[in-house]
Amino acid sequence: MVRIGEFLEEDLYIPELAAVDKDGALKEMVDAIVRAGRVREGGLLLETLRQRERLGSTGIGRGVAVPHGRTLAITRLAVVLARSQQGIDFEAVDGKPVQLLFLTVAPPQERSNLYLPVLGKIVETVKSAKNRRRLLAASNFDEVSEILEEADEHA
Amino acid sequence: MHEQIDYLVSLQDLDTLIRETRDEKRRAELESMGFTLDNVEPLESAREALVKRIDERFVRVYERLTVKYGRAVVPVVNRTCLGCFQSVPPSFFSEVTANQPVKVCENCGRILYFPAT
Repeated sequence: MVRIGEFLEEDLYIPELAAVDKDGALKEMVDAIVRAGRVREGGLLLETLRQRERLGSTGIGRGVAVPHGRTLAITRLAVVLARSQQGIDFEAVDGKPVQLLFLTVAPPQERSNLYLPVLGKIVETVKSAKNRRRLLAASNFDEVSEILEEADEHA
Repeated sequence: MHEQIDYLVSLQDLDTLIRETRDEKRRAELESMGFTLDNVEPLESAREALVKRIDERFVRVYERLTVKYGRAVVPVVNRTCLGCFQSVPPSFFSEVTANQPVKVCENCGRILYFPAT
């Protein structure tokens, strides 16, 4: 069973985004991956995410966006969780600003093939209003981890 | 890193995205999760613009390798080409030069990218 908690690390958690727009949010999350030493070239990763957004917004509604993409720039799957209490216009399907963002990136060749199952697991987790509310209210990374672990357990 | 290899990596990533979008099964799976994949045309325009920025000789190599292997650019992880899984000599890890801005695997000929930090 896929568990989101396995991929989320403290240095890939942004409790409150400074960015106020979509591109700024993508950039801030990519910067977190670069700072964590997971990619050398943040620019390549950002470009992949921007191209994916041109295909259609990854703002899936209910205040959630799951920007995602496959890129050679990264060697293993990574998930960044970022929050924005004020919300960001992500051109979401329901037109509402997003407050929870789960950026998911993976290499094109991935032996364990977890990319789609992880995306599916994130979408399933945030369908729950209770999970969304708790993730937004969490006061630190440990609480966020606990909420995601509980969501994994109850899947 | 030389800009030509960055362009080639972007081209490979873009082709991966276009291919996945055209894959009916993959597309259905993503749409069932709530994602929209409507506008493939802007990606094709972006691809055309990107190709114009790449040296013609590298584009020819890229297209030839794509026909042969499906994927022209592959990462080197743990000193191994992830195209053919053969070791890459240590000399390949030195900086690229103006004369050799793009490196290819000595064994399979695929274009190599070094993503490790």
